[in-house]
Amino acid sequence: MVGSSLGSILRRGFKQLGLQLPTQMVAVLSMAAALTLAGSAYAFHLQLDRLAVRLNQELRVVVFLKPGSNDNYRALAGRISSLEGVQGVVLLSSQETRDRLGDMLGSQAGLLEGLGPEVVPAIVEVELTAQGLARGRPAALVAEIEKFREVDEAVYAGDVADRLESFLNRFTNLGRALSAVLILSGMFIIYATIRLAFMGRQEEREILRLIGARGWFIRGPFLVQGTGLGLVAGGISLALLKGLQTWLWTIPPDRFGTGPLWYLGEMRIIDLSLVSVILGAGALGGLIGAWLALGRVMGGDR
Amino acid sequence: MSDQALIQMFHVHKNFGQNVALWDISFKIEKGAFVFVTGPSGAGKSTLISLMAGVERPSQGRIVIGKTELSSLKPRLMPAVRRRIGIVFQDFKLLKDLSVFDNVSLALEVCGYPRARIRPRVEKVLGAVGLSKKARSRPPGLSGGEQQRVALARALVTEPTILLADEPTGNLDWELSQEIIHLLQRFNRNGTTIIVATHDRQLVRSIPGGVLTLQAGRVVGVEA
Repeated sequence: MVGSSLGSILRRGFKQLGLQLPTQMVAVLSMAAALTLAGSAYAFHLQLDRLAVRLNQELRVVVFLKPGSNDNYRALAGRISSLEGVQGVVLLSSQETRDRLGDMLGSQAGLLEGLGPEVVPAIVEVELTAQGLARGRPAALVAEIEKFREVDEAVYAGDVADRLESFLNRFTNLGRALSAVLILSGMFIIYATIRLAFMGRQEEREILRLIGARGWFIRGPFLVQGTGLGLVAGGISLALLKGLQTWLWTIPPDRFGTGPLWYLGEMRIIDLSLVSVILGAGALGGLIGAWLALGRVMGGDR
Repeated sequence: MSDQALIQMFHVHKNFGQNVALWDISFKIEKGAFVFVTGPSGAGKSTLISLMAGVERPSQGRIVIGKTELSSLKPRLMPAVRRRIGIVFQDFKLLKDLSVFDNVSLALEVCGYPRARIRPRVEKVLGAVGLSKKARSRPPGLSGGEQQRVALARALVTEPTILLADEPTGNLDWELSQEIIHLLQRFNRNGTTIIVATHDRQLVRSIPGGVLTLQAGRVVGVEA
């Protein structure tokens, strides 16, 4: 028995979406602008997050051995491997380290000519597990490794990652707050639009009440309308974000000093999670805006 | 309470602020009756219809429809009562942006009838009021008489036990008024209890039926 009532609610709701277009467009565009800005922030956050993850994956503890420790470095590598949070080790003898340095110097490799292999220390590169990369653990690991007598110095280049993570946290909080404010503004405009529509259809509500309609049958189409406005806004926002992504891909990576963001390749904005978030936020924002608008004016129609 | 009584009022008063609209109204209307509520403008006819429809609540007294005590009914239960009562108004109260068919089917959608059952019922009732060919028209394109027949079709499509009509012929000429009244008579013969509020004495005299006469909010005459 509920089937035709639901069908009627949906039909009337969709029909209302086609009425008073200028007013509804204002609501849709406001919400779309809010969702686009929030979506951009979310996409930027995702890209930074991916960058931080990749950076962490590539970070290693570099252990410089004391001169003359070349003979023991295999035994040392075994001891380091047994430490908590260590994935594995890569051994570079003095000669190998010197060769690598020569490669890095390129045309200036001649500077190393005449120097013996003992000038450059042997190195142990330590790869970390996820547990080893956890906050605070790399520093503890460095301290543990430096206790070995063969070790001259252990270095973990985590500063950059830490700074990135700190920036990411601040950006995420700011983005959340800004998105909330923007989406609330969009919701308020949908609230006002639905309220106007509801007031403008007083006669229809009265007639429905007289023929025995329950409150949800009267309110339903306005909730559908609000949700529909939010969904349309979400669709427009996704189209704008897609346009933004296409535009970003045309910019050379280092043009605005944003090279690191392209570290993972082209900046991805549109992905499944963003589509779900934008459409979900649009629909939910529209529904809540409409619900609040009706809650204030339903009165005797309940 | 009488077994045959469908509508009963016991010492009903209705005030709007300081204004007394109805004063100490008591009567009962039996199942299957055709009753006119008559009296001059401002006598309280529309208020009486609104009270029977559950649109207004009495300031004092009891109203019983069938076995339902209307005066103390919880608001959330009121829609179920209204679905058993068809209402027709002088100004038709049709939705102008819906077709004749959709205006009528809305009453069934409100009740949650399955879609498959709605079409045949609407077609049947539109046929009964002679509007089969106007099903796709919208109310503004219809004459006053046709609009009132749409309103009548909407009120009757749910097969209510009671039909309340508030000045249903108020906007119609004599010929169209007779047409509407004869339609009401036809539905009355099928078992629907019909109460018509009208100030038109000539209309009241033109067909047989009970008459409840109001004046200044009081019952001043009852004819069975």
